[in-house]
Amino acid sequence: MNDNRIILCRCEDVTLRDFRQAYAEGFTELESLKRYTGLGTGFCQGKGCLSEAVLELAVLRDADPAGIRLTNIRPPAEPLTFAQLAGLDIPEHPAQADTGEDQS
Amino acid sequence: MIPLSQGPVPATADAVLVGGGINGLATAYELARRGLKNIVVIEQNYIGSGSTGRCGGGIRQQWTTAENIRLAQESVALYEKMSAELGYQVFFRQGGYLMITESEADLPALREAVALQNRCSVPTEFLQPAECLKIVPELDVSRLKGATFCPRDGTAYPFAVVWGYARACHRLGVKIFIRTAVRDILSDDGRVLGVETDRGRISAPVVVNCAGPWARHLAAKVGVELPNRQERHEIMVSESLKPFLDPMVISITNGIYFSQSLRGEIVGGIGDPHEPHWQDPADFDTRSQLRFAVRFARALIQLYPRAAEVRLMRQWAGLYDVTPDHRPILGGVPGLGGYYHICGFSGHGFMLGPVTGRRMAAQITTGHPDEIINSLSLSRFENGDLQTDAFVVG
Ligand SMILES: Cc1cc2nc3c(=O)[nH]c(=O)nc-3n(C[C@H](O)[C@H](O)[C@H](O)COP(=O)(O)OP(=O)(O)OC[C@H]3O[C@@H](n4cnc5c(N)ncnc54)[C@H](O)[C@@H]3O)c2cc1C
Repeated sequence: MNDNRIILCRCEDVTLRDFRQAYAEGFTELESLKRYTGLGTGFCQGKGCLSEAVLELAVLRDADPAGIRLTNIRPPAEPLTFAQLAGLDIPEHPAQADTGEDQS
Repeated sequence: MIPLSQGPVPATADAVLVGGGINGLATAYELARRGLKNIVVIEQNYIGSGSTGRCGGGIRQQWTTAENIRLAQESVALYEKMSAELGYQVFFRQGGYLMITESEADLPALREAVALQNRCSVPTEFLQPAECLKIVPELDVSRLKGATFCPRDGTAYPFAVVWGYARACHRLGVKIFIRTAVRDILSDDGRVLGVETDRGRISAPVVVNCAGPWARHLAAKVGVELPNRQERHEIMVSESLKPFLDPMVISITNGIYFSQSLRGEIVGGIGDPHEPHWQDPADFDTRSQLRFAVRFARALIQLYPRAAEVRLMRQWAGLYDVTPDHRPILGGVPGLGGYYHICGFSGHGFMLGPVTGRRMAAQITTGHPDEIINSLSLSRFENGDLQTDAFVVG
């Protein structure tokens, strides 16, 4: 099938061809492929595409996928609104957390 | 394309640059442009993996010392031409920088800074809180006491900048090795002899330490003691929104800064006086903290209430390489010919990298003294020649 019609990252619309082209341009590291194509930077934060990307990278490198490092996984696990975050009961200063005192 | 050298490292080079961040690559490019041959850049991880790829991309000329203003001005001139010069789109955009304060007590310093910047031909203006709404219409200005705005400040995409320099380096014959670490700097009888990498030795008469947060550790290999310490700073991006925010907004009151990327994300961080600092790379901790996300969210909503329902997508952390006076350390050291360092940017090395690379390359190739490099030399800490800029924020 035409690699321009296979979508690797659905959130950011990155096709298999985009990915292969970026690799051919010298973005041979998954971390760099992520920044160049946008792969894995959308709503699912790579949950739907990173493992596929590793398999494809293994083919391109003619290497064992087990030896390919994933990109760093960044929090949060699911996108949260600023309002949700602002409402969390987390002290602003680490010292407060350490003392366990109720600051409110 | 990002051309990376394959195979073994060369046995000899005319110059080795340690670090594939903006400083290593900009300096390599400027050295090559001046005709130096056989230049090698060694990066232990991937290009931009240090502070450069973690940074906010902000570029401003609003400083309070003539030296910082001049460097930033020269750098903005380079950024304005960068995409054309490197043949690579670096997404430099001059949406301006809006520096705000919630404290009456800051106003005299802000006015003084504007006057100094204007004397240096930086077109900054002082704004009353209500006037900020012309620049950021939905800003909550109720707690603001004043602001300054320079329309020629802006942002660029950090990865595109290092990729662009890497490509231009390659066109000029520079060899770039990634996933290769410099283990030692070799010297004898007061001269640098080269570097020992984990893939072999490179003999070279010039070694430039552009190792960012790791520069102190590397310098120690040749007995150079840098006073730098490394601090964690966190940053985040939101989901993409349609364009709504032209400038970078930065508060000198609590250190929050945020801008909108060309992908539409809000990109921002906030300074944190409670963060620890380190000097030994074994201690570096760049894990993300929920505490940062919460502090940032609260400060953002306070300034920009409409952001409340926007989602935070991703947060990460990087290191500032901080010097006692928050100014970079440039140049060489007496008694060790061929050794140079370009480090200690204290959180503003992305905006200065193009010009520090250019000035250092000129100094290395011609040996002509450079007034600014001299005043930023390591020896200033012995001479007590310290002057801190009041606008170190973030
Ligand atoms: C969260 C955050 C936000 C920031 N925001 C801004 C901003 O808005 N504007 C601004 O101007 N600045 C900002 N900065 C600061 C800026 O990122 C740095 O000052 C700048 O990127 C430094 O560039 P550099 O090339 O000197 O160092 P780095 O980018 O850190 O590069 C050093 C490189 O050297 C490599 N290295 C180290 N040791 C070795 C070794 N022994 N062998 C081989 N390679 C080695 C590292 O892997 C690294 O890639 C920010 C920093 C952070 C952390």
